[in-house]
Amino acid sequence: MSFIGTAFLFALPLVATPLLLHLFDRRRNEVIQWGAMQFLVEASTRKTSSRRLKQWLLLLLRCCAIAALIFALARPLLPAGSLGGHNQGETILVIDNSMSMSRSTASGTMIEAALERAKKIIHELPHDEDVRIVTSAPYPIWIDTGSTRVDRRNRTRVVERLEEVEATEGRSDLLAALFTAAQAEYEPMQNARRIVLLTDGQATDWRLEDETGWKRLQEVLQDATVRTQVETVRLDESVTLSTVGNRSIDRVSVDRFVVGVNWPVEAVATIHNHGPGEVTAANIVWRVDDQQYDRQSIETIQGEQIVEARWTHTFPSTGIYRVGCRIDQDDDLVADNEAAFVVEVVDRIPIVIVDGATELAEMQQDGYFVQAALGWINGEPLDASSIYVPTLVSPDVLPTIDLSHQRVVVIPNLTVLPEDAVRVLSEFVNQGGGLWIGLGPRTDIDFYNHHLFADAAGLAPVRIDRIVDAGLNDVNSEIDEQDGNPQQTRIDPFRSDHPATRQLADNSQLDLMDARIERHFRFVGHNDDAGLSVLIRLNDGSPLAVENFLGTGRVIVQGVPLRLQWSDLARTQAFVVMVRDWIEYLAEPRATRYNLEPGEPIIHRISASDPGGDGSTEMEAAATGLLRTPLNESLELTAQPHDESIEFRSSRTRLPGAYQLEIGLSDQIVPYQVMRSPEESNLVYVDSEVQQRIEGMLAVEPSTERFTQADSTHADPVWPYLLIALITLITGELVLSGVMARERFGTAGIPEFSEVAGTTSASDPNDLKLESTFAKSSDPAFAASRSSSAQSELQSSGEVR
Amino acid sequence: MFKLFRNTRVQPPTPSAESTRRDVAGLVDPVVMDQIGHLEFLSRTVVDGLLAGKHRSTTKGGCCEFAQHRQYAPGDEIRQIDWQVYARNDRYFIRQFEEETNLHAMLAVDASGSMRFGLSTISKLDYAKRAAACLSRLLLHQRDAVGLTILHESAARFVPAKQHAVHLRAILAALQSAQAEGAGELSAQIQHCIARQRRRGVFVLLSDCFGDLRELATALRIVRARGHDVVVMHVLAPEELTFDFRRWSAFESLENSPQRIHLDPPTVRQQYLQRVRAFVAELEDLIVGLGGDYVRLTTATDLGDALGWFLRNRMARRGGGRA
Repeated sequence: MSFIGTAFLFALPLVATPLLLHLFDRRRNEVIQWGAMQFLVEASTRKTSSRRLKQWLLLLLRCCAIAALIFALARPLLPAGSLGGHNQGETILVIDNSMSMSRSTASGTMIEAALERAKKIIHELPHDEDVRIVTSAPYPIWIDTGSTRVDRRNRTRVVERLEEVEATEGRSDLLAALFTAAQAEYEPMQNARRIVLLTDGQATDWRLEDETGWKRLQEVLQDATVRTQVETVRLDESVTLSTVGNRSIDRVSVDRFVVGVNWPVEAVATIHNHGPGEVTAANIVWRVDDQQYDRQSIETIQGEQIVEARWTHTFPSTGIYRVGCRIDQDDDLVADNEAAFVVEVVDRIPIVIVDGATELAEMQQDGYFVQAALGWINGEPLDASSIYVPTLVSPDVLPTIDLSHQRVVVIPNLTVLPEDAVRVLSEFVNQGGGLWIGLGPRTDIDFYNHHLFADAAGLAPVRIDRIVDAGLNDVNSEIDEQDGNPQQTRIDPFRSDHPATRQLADNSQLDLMDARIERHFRFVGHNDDAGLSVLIRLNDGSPLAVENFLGTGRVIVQGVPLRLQWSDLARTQAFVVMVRDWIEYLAEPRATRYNLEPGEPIIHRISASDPGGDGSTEMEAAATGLLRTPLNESLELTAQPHDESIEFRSSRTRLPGAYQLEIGLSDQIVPYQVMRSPEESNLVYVDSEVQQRIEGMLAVEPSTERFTQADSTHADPVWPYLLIALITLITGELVLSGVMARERFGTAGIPEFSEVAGTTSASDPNDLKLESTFAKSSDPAFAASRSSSAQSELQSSGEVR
Repeated sequence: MFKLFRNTRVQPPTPSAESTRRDVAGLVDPVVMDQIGHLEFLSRTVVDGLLAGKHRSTTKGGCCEFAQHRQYAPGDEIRQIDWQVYARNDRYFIRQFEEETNLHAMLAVDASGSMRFGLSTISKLDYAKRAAACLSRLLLHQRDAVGLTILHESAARFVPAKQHAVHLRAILAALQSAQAEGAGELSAQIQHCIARQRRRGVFVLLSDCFGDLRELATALRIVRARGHDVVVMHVLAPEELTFDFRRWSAFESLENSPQRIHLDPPTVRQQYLQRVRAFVAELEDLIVGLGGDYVRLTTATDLGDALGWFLRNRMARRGGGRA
């Protein structure tokens, strides 16, 4: 017990005050010379034990009242839980609802077994125990906010909430779930916590590779301020499981998120045999938006092997499609036999190309090669199916044009830009646009360093140093092109694992290796580029193209111009791939993300002037949306205005699987796919050795000093109870002293005058003389009685018998 | 606030030598006498058959009841010589007459220790003294003989009943000298004094009557049996009737000096009052049963009022009885 106002405790001797007053009163001992001793002796010999008891009780009440007041002023704190009486605890049920829990058993599924077990545990709990439930897939989620006491009324409610738990397609993070359970806030009254983990024991869920995480969990358990006990219930030990083997489609992927209409698109399904034994051949079914398109048969897969199935499809019209693939055969875990990917099919990607030399001949123009790579010559598309729509502008008009519908701005050969243009571009990139800058002969180093780099606050990621010539570090020396100089500078695509250069690195098909760089800009600190995102490097290791992230957008700065100048890059076959890949890469942030990781928000933007629909009506119609989750729940979303457009946003994408956003009254359905983790398909359960290791790690005994420390930090105030006690004591004192006063002085004294026999109360108002005579008396009652008796006597004496 | 703890007891007035004279006069309070002066003290029973002539004899002053002859001695008044006897016997005889009164009243003042009590008022003895003095004066004024007995275990005094106005001085002196102390065997004292009272009359007892009631009853019965009219003026202090003490106190006996009780008065109050009430009721019953008058007086009440009330009351009943 601790006190806030310790100083008040020095007043504790005051408790003795009533006792001292009582004794002092007794000691006063006034001596009274008394005549009527005979009655007093008789009266005092009578037993007065009950009276004496009351007196002592009164004294005790007064002492207690003073003590309660002093203690209340000192504001004592009791260690948490000590007022709650007995051990009050909390049980946290951690339910593994990962995909592997949907594995069927002899009597239902694993998750059903888990829920049965959980209900049994809840029924066995004492009535004053609190219970909380957390599910672990794909990350820990409390079923209820706060904890619920499992009394009779709440028990059914808890069980009802428990019934709603289903196996998801997610992968459990049992470590995080245990973290969450161990670190959950607890009520001040609680002094014990029991964490029951209901899991199928799938090895991958335990995240055993995260050594530091487990260490931290142990620290958390050790530092727990209440006694924490972790129990693990392995459900796979109590049920019989089928062991056919498991084969899953880990993922379906399409190499591009955004594809053009009538472009052949190749989808790749990765099929993984997770079991050790081989599985027989089976059919897979390809489907687009629930419509079956193709059947393929896959051959037998050896144990632990991965095969890929490819399927090429051409989308005839724009839209958003879900490309799905399913194995048409049951195995141990059915849920992972299917995977999907969402592809957006568009008919145009608008691009702005900034050309500082439009007056020159075609080949001399800055944007010629970029346009050509995109399939445009002379402002006309070569191919009707081309989805890229480039717009050629000069640097001077750049600030005036509306970039809000553009995806990417390409500056093939950087010149001095107007200040407004830099500002407009910064805004554009900040909002998710892509910017591709090629540095060339007309680039002003000072302008670049001051306005574009701007001390790391601008668009460019790094300052440029100077122009270097290949082979020789001399700006003025000329290099003979035909000379097979071994010191020739070339691009080394293998040094990068950047997602944008994945296809470029395919040297068997592309000739990026052959591109010679004669002259290029060197970036400052090119050898020390830690933290710098580099797309491609030269073979001497210095970066040629670097990337910067600004806001939500991306910027690529390249050391050579995007034309046939300083290098023959524009002449290579790889240039076309590079331009298209990088433009797609740069355009990505502006595109809606349809394939998400668990927890990533769904953001769907509808522009006010969206081409392909009447803007205003769509805006009005699209005020609300309905999001369907994989568990068939419907969430209503309300559109929020966002920069001349509206957007739907939801972060409730914790569960992997197919989502659908139905917008407004228009029957527009936007599919979203949240990817599941392929590791969840691995049905390897932890063996006994690992199990022991886990249990060893979870059986952490918190140090006792932590508890004592916690006692002082978590404390219950006692003074409200003391004040209540004080009020009770004072009330009791008042009642008791009232009773005693009544006993002491309640009896009236003896009348001071003897009554005269035969007196009546009749009074004669005419007898004023006598009245006045007796009015002298100091005692009015006395006078009245005298006068009345005297009157009656006079009256009677006047009578004649 | 400290006043509360202060001793509020009123010291009883202590008589001093120089105030004795004043006190003698003070016993007969002129105010009281003014109040009761026009009243009469009447015996409720016939006193020696003379009561019928009471008023006449008091107003005329004549006394003609022959008692005896005795031989003349020098110094006797010549007019008292019975000349008829001289004529027959040739000797001088003096005619002696019986002294004649209407009423022989004996005032008995209890001077036991308990009568000394008086906290907020004068002591009971003082009150009794004043009452006795006033009654004496009244009785003497109406030409009745008044005697006084101080009932005291060692210093008992007896003043025989006489009729002279100057007799008052003797009575007052006797009253003045009375000091309350000792246990005072009340019944024995009464019996002793009543034996000296030959003529029947009124016996007025001024006492708190504390003690054994049965013995007192015996004594009063004897008094009654001798034909006396009994009046008991029960003098009590108001504290004895209310017992309104709040503090722990030591009660010291006024009669047995070593007796001392230390107690919390309120705790015994109820029991005490019950006993006092019973005692007072029993005493009243006893006296009324004897055919006597019982008057309860507290020292807090005005003496004039109390006596006046009693006398009026008595006169009224007397008158009623005669009518």
